Amino acid sequence: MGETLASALAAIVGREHVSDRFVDRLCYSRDCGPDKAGVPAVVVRPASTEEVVEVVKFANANRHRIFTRGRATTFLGSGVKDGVILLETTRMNHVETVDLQAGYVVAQCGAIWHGIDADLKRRGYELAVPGGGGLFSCTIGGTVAVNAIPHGATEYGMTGDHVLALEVVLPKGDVVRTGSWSNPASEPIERNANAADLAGLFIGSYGIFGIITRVVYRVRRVPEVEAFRFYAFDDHRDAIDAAGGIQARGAATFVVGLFGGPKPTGEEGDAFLHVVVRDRVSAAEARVREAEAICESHRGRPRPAEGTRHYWQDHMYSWLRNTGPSSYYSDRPFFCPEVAGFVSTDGLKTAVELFRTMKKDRESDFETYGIRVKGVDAYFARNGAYLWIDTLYDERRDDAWTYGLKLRAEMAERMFTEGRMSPGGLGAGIAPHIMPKLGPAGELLRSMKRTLDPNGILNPGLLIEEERAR
Amino acid sequence: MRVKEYKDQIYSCLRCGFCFDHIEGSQAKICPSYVTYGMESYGARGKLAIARALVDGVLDYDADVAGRIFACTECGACEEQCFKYLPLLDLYAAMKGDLAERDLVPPELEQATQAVKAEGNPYGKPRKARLDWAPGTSRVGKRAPVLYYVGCTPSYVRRGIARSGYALLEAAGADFGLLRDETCCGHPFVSAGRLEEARAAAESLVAAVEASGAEVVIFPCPGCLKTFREDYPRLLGRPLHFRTLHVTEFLADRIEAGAFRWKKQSRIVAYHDPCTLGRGLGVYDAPRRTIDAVPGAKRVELRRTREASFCCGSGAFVRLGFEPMSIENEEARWAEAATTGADLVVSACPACQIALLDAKRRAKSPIEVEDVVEWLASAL
Repeated sequence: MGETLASALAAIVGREHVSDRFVDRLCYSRDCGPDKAGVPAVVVRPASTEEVVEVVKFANANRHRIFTRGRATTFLGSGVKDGVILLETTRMNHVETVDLQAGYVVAQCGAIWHGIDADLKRRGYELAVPGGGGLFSCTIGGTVAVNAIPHGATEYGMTGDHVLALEVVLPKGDVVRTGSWSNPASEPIERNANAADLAGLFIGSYGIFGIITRVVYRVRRVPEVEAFRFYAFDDHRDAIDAAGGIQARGAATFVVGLFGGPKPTGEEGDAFLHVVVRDRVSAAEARVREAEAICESHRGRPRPAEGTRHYWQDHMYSWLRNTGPSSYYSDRPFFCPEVAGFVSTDGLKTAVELFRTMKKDRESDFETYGIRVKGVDAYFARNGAYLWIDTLYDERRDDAWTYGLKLRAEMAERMFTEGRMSPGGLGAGIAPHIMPKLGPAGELLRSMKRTLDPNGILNPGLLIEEERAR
Repeated sequence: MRVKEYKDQIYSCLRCGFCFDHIEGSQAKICPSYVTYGMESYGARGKLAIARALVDGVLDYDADVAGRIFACTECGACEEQCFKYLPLLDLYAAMKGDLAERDLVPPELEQATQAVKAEGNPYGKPRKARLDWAPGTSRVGKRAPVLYYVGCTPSYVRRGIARSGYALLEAAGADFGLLRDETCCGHPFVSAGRLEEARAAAESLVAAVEASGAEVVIFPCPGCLKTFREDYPRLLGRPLHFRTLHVTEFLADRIEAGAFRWKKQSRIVAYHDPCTLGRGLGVYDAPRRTIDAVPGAKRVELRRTREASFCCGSGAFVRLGFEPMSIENEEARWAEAATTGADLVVSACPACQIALLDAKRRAKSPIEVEDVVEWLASAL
């Protein structure tokens, strides 16, 4: 099959952009997460929407399964299976339009998020959410497809909130544009135009309904100032109440809470809040004062905020704990079976306590398998919190790896039920534990998958059980 | 397998992909071989995936693996941006060693190592012609506190560099000598993973330098300098008893001591950071200080500069086996240099100069290209 398949795809994209050599294929298996994955039969790298269409039509006609991939920086499992076509998008990396007047960019799906942002920064602008969640090497198409949780969520909202329009290749090869862009005579300035919000169907869907090939994304002016504050609390409930107060008053652009894992270097306390305010000079001063007052009214102790500034400006999670970039994971072979999701701000107290109980109950297991807790951290969103629980296992130990995945499954299920937490990203690692619990919503997703992709060729099994989709 | 010694580091790769894309944006990539060949296997994350497959026993070394590993220019951009601070160049060197043991070195590179064995240089030029560039014999074999180690490319191919370095050292009043029997430093052996041959070269040359009485050795070629400064101590298992300096490091200090009187040069000079000198050895300022010393010269920077500089495409002798890749990347680098407004592009590495000259010719550009020592010597 290999040669025939590779030759057919080469006829579409060119010989040099297809490989069925094992040495190439093995590099397109796993992502940043802990899940083992299959090895594709062939890797194909299209350069245009038209080439994607041809690949999809070929795959559909011949019942080949396709998995899509940008930079593969998700921690949640992109679920690549053995023997599939791996369609990689990073040749599609042109930033086609930058319209600062209308406030958007149009980029091909494989454009690197940070690259777009760096170019905008030189002009005094930025993508409307700083950092597409996860890692800065992500592509814009992949980031939107998984709806990665961004920095700045308290004020700016989610990645998907700022998508103005999408171009998507559907599993049968049709190309759709969404919102005002679906009118060929119009510009992509409004997502909520021309009936239903079709972009919303594809945002966060992990590419099971279509391959996003172009993204129209909102940009904003870089604010005049950034101010940083850092507070320690002796009780995590006070920290959560303080964050809730900041949310209610709109006093900060971003609040990150630390509720577990190592304490920031040199600090004492049960929980910590990093507070970032970005605004015009006059407005920022007032918001900072308000955030300070809220934290202090909840018994927060102001602490030096240099780590907060480093975290925000240098894009390094390690600074959340006052340590330099070289200490993030360090050079150790530890991987992270992350469990993450949204809870109400007040409900965060329950979720944090649930994790602490689970950890206490598993002390001997953690000892046996060398499991560490990297962080129990929350990005406070507009009206809730995105909590992520990062445990670490030593990847050199098969038993630790197996235990890490088992722990993730248990935590995902208990957090969903007892912790009342709803995952944001649902990659291949988490979906099997959550999708069966979604009831009619899950059934609707399955129904849409069957309708759009009757042959089940596109990212099969990634969100929805493969057998039911086919 | 040497690669197994790096198992912990290999398993530590987060697969974050920071090793692909340029931090300054514009969708630029940092890895020359990934730029040209596009498959991840040519980038650092892919090479770590290959290394892991080797360690795990699901892949054996073969010509496909060799093609990915030997396409690396050793520019170090991936290591510079690595989120986990992994020693990627050391890992690639271990893989090259494994490949060499299996006779999987690309034939073009192997031919160069054979030429080094036969004639003491990778070009196969006559050993006896090595010093033909020199303006006289008075410094040949001279015992002096400073030794000028010229290297193969300046000795045979870019003799203007050899002569200019010599002239500048004389103008600086340095008491220096040349080795009578200078031979290749062994850099081609290191790049080919032929570590025993590299060790032999190290032993021979270190003995020659020590016999010369030199306290300081000056290099116009960053590749030779890196081989002496970093590879020799590892190969020999002991530190060197003499200092090693790039010629610009030596000159920058002498300039500040007032050793030179320069003629005014009304030039706009763009400086291209050689990967080995910059990211490899941390020498960024000395070449710039020498350029800035010349009255009338205005130095400009390429968009990708210093730690974020982009490779000229010719490191680690890849031009021998992967010429289309070298050409693609040298043209990209030239295009960047050409937009600076400079009328002169200088580097501080003979291999970079050759690449930039090649790109200039293809572009039919009027912008001049020189090694920094050639241009400095012209201002004496």
